Amino acid sequence: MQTLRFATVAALALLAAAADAAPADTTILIDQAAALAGGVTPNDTTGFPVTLSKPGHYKLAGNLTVPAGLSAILVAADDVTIDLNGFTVASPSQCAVGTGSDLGAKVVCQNGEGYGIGMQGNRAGSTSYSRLTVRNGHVRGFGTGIAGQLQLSDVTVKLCSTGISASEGSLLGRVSVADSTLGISAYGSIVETATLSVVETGIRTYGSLLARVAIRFAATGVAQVTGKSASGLRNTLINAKLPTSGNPVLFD
Amino acid sequence: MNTFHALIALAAATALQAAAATPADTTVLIDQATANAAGFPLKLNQPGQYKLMSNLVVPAGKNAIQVLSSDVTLDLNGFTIQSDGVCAGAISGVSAVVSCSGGGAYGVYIQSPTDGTLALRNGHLRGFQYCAAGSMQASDLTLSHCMTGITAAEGSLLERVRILNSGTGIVANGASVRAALLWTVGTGIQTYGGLIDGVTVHGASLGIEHPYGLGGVRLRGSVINAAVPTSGLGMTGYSLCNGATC
Repeated sequence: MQTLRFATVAALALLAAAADAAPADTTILIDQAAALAGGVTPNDTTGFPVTLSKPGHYKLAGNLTVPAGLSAILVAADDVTIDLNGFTVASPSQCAVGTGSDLGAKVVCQNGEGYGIGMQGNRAGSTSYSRLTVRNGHVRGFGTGIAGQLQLSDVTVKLCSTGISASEGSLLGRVSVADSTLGISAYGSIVETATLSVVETGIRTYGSLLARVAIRFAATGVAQVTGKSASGLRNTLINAKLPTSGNPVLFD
Repeated sequence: MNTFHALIALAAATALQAAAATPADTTVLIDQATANAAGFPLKLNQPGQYKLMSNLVVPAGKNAIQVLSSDVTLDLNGFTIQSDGVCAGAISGVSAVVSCSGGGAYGVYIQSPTDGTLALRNGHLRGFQYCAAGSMQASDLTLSHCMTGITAAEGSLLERVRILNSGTGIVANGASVRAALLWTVGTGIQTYGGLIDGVTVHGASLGIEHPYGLGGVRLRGSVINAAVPTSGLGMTGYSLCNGATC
């Protein structure tokens, strides 16, 4: 039996050594408790918003429920990736959502100015952090759902004053926005494979490519910003009271 | 001893059963500590899957990761591989002036065409002279502050990549580039014999360049906002250059 004990201890020691040698996953997990406790990164105070001040990979480990009017996550670093991991970032929404027989829509939201996920400095326009990646989950009930210089994939946004606000240099793919006043603003960007439903304005844009986009129920489908570089529409289906304004170019 | 042997046999049988039921994940994990221990550049010389578990900050002047085998997949896992290069870029109208300095020579690279093929995905590269280079399938990447973002050898496929604040975005010869976003770059894409499909260039001195008169370029369904939207011959397909048909 002593030999058996020695063998067991030796095996455990080997396992421990292997665990020590294995690279540690530095992905930072965020759930409701971590958000309320603060300290997710330096300068992150207790409660919302969660401030991400270090580049790296962050991952939700549960839904986040945010008091009305506050932001959920503010990013204050370049090169941040947030994996929503299938979870939802939500705040109580105050949106009145209606559609008309003319394929139009009227959506009035009084959600305040909070961001679901935003980049700190955007509002003042002074400090602009860059290159935020968000994927794989849901955002609901904010003034702006997701904002910044973005790479988005597999994301749904609902019940926001502005669903997605993408600054120049953004790439949005496989996204949907519903029941919001403005679906997407995208400047100098790509919006590829997107659906927008029940929005007053589907996509406000300049200098962008919009491809494989479907819009259903909107007062205006695609609004080209006047005086700016044109946007191109490709493989789009727009069912709206006014399909386009400001003459974006239809490729096909 | 009989009891001891029986216990060992039972343990071995259990282990074999467990091994049969749950195949071991042979993904090789990489973090800053293992990279520092191995030294830069890391050399991936076996086929298989490699995955970052942290950002990698590469010492000045060093290359990051060299691929020396075929059939390597490198998942950046949302992290960043970073050197110290910086590109100063400014947009004026639809044009951009970009000046790059510093940085290690290569981020993730295959030095010789015979060395291998690479699937590179899901993360960020920043601050190298050549951020990614070789025969590759690249997807879901953000590259910035690169003298050249991606140098893609013939047969490469690039999808959902964005290259920001860089000297040249993509050099792709005999390659397919789809859903690529280039912003504040000197030259967006330099290519021959390639398909450029669903691309946006916003802010560039030169959007799409076909430099050598080799193999035609199919430019399709793209938006090019640049001082000179396209140069060279052989580009076909409906695209938008500074608000007009190319």
